Amino acid sequence: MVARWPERHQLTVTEPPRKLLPHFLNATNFIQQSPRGPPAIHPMGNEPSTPSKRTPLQLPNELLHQILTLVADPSTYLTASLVSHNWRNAALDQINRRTFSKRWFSAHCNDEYAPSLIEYTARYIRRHCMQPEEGCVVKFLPVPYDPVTYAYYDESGPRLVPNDCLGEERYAWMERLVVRMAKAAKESEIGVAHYRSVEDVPLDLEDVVLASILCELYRARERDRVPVVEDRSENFHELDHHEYLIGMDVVRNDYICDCGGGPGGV
Amino acid sequence: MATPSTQATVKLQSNDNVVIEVERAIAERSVLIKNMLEDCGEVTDAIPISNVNESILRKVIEWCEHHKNDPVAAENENDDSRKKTTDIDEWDQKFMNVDQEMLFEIILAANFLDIKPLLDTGCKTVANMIKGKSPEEIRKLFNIQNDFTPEEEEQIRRENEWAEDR
Repeated sequence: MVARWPERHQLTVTEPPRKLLPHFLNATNFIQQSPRGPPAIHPMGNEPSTPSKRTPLQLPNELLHQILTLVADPSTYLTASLVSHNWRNAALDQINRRTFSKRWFSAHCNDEYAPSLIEYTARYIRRHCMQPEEGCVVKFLPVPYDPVTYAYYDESGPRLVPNDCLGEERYAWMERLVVRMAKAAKESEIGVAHYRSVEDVPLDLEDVVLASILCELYRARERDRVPVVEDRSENFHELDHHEYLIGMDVVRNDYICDCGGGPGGV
Repeated sequence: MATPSTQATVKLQSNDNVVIEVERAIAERSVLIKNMLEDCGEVTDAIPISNVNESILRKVIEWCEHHKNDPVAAENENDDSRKKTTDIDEWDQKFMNVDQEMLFEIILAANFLDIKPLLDTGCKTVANMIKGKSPEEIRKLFNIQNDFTPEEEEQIRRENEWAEDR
């Protein structure tokens, strides 16, 4: 089965809302131009002149990097980038961003079924963002809205994922994220050909933010279902899992995107 | 000839010249000491741990004693096993419930002695300390000077907006 979304549902990536698309990846530029010169290479951003032999945080940069990759969530990670030049450089470091993302996914998406699909979905969206054919990227925000009919997009509405599933704001948030990823991919030097399959795609902060929305939704739905399970057949819970995830399953197994980059291959 | 397995204890000397005798198996939680013992065979003299003072060394040994039966983590740095969780077990949480200076000393000692699980636990503890805090609160916590101009700060804030739930 090949799922297709009607053409009119495609969102263009060529006209992103400007202010929502900061160039996080290139944001070191202004630091290099800063009249203060390059940030001091000093433990955790303390002034080099501090004479005390025991300033509170005398950890080498290397350990700051490690701490950063262990923070609990993407918002803490981003907050850390506002602490000082030193912390910002650490937060912008691509290796750190990827290590953080990898850790986050292995801590939060290592469940049997749903969360690993969430990771897959994040990779899949990222993979498609790397080949930003117009409209391709946001074809599938893979959340089904109707647990009864398994519908995962609204045929009559203007959006791929209807608002009653995510809520208007959350939907808009996910849209912004995906558009941002598409733009970053477009500007990135590494093209899609570099990554042969979805599994090869390195995950970044945007993926973590996106996946944390999906995880949150998933957990919320799981919680809601607990009392229902008691009254139904044993398989009901499992089926419910499937209901929620069917959109993702469709993405994973069936959906061939117009851009030519189907699941698992170029 | 070196017969490492027969040596039951080793002596460690802190940088304030206190010698502490510990079970060899416990001391070997430190990859640095383990390698040293493997290279040198029998070591009867106290091993100088030049970067670590007595109280921190005792603290580190306490951790090693508690964790002496933990499986040794895989050599491979990229192995996911040590990254699977951001949780800290209860004993470690209590162990890490010390003042900030000591916490950092423990982290530095773990780094120097190459005790990865202790280093991870320490770094996770610090990572948890900054959770939910504002940049200003983080600066206060760690005595970090804000070296951004207001314009830079504003710019970064705008750059980070994409991730915010609005």
